[in-house]
Amino acid sequence: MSKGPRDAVVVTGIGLVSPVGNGVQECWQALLEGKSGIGEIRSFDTAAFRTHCGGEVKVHTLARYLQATRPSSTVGKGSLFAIAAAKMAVEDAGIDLNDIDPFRLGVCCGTTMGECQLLEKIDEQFVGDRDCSIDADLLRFYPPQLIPCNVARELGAGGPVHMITTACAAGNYAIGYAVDLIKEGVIDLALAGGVDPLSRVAFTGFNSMLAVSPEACQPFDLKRRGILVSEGSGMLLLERASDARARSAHIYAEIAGYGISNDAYHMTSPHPDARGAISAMQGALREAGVGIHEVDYISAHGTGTAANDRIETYAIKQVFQKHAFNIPVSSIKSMIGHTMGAASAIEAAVCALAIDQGFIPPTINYVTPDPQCDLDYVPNHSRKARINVALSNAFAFGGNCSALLLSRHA
Amino acid sequence: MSRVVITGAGIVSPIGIGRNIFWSNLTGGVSGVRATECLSYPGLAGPIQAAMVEADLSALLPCRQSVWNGTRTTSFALAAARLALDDAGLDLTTLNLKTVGIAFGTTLSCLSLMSRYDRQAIEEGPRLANPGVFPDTGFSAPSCRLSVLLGPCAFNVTLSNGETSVLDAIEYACTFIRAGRAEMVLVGGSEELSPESMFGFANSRRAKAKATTDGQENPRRNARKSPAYGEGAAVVVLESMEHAQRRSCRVLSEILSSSSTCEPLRIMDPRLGVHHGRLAVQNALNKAQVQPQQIDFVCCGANSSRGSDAVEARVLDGIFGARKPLRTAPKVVLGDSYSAGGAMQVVTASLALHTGVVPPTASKDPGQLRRGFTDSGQASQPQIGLVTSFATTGANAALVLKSADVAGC
Repeated sequence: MSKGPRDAVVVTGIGLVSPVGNGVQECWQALLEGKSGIGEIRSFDTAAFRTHCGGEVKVHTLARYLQATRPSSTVGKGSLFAIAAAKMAVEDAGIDLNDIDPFRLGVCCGTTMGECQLLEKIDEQFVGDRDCSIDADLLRFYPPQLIPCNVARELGAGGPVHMITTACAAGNYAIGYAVDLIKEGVIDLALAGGVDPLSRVAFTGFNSMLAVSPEACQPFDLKRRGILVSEGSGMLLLERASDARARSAHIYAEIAGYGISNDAYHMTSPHPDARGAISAMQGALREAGVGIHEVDYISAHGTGTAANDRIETYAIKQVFQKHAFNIPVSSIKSMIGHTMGAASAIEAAVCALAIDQGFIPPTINYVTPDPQCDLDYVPNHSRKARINVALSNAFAFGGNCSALLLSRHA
Repeated sequence: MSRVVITGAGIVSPIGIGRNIFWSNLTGGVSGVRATECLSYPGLAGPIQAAMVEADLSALLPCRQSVWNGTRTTSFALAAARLALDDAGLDLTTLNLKTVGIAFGTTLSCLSLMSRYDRQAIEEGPRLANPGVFPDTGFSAPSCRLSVLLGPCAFNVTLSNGETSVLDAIEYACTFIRAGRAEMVLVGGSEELSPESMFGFANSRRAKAKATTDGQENPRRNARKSPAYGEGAAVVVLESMEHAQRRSCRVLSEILSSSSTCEPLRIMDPRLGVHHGRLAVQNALNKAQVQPQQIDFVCCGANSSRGSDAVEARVLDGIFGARKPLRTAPKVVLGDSYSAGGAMQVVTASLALHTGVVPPTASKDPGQLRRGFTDSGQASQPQIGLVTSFATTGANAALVLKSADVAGC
């Protein structure tokens, strides 16, 4: 493999685990058809909650990718999702990792809640039996870095392994840093993305903040009522363009740049002037050397909360000026819910697919326009379009803002 | 490529708050490890040997701790950041905060608050859950509080890589400074001890004890068979050499290089990963263009656990051969504070380079002394130091630091 440090970094493999389906074909087709993956939550009892809906992955459909994985008692659900998505990405890239120096293969992963379901089990045991028959092994497998470590173990990776925990923007951070590591010559290949299993703590938290919609997620709609907590994983196989070309690999898109910033304002509310969001988008454009008129599609953070969608729209208009009204902006969270740390990784994959396939997935459940959200949100139906440049926004608790810019690789 | 230097250090540790008292106690061999009863949890027998921060930090905090729901991880982080900024002679009100970033390492972070939040919701019903608590339960909450309360906004990242988190955060920060995305970065780590974390550590320790029947070399063969855990935070100010020179500030050390690898099978068998660890150290030395014989001391991640100490010892023996540079293991007196431990190692190494004294490993174990661990503070005028960390989950990280005098700062 070449070690050219400033070669472009490209996406050659995609792995998707989501409530609307797993793998590129199934998930992409469902998104283009505007299918919803939302339903009543089954993995825990929601009777005492205000709301009962969310997105859940059909775990049994991942069996093919998890046959060699160690028993689930020592591998949390987050690891299982990430392992499956990573193996899909490797398979999709058509690469034989046995041909790769393991120390040149890294894993960068992002998450919001990590393996929180293990802590939740301990808490249930604690509350149920204070004299204690707590399953002590559970907490041993709680630390979030075990997720990328388990991915590395399954793939035989020996290079840097990172878990970035910047909540709902974590996938973008992980992908961006993996690109940095390849460009710096630290590694040649990376599995990068995000993961989050459905978490009762997250469901409790967002419900307590009255930020969860009772049924449908309606980004940018006047009557939007909040997010839908969901789960999934998105993993990208990243490598240098020259390496991809040398092995005649299919290149979905190039990761042309990224920008990250922080509002430095509030733990949950976005800055009223969208300071961080604007800075992140401008940073991504600057790093990629792309002008505002070149952007063909924006994958919005688009959570369906009143504040996010209004501020994100404002930020896009500030960055793109009049051109903002010409850019299709959609949110796949309307279909798969908010997969937390996985969200931006799945959305990055969607941007790569939009560039590669020439379609834009829709924002479903869009009924009533909001005067404050007045862009083209690709309502309810996917759209055929040639996409050369796509921008993927992701924002998070604590004011963390990110934007990843993908482009057609020449 | 920009050279990156450390110009300030702030520390909240079991042996002192602020770098002067910390350094005085560390070089004096003062231990913060005590028997404590305050970490009880079902199934956890007390008292427990632990190094806890007992000082009142309120004078160092920007507002009342209730603002961040009292999580000590966040309190430690804020106090250490304030001390680091003061130490670097920085006033945030005069800085362009768009050029200042934060790279933080914490892994258990606010585990205790999250668990309490969850248990309360189970017991009293989720409709009574306090919406103001949830945002402070996240892994990134301490780091984000730094931005929200202090203002740096170039970027804010949290790495949750266990013991190697902060060495990895330093590499992240250096990447951002060199790429021109930030001029200055606050890099640190913070962890709190809680009944929940101690329960996890205790179980992990049992698991390791079961797995370790190795008979391998162990730098702590006659010492404790398991770590004493600790807590606290340390933050260092990183900036480009040009930036530091522009403001004519004192430089503690220069970061020459860092490197990391991972042997993910180590979670199953703590003896594994010597080759991977050696590669991390060798890569760091190669990137720094430094020969092993130029390393004057090693600030080890050794924490008295059989598995990872044995790996570290074998890695260092492989790198240095018969020549044994001074080795110091601050966790012996600070306890193993998980992600924060790496930050404390970086501060220790920087201060060793700055003051010319390598602190002792406060142990009387002859096995350690034979292997090069310092038994008293040694005024050896070190010029280049190596920091190593070998995580229980398999990550290995190494950092090479250079004295500011040698670096021509």
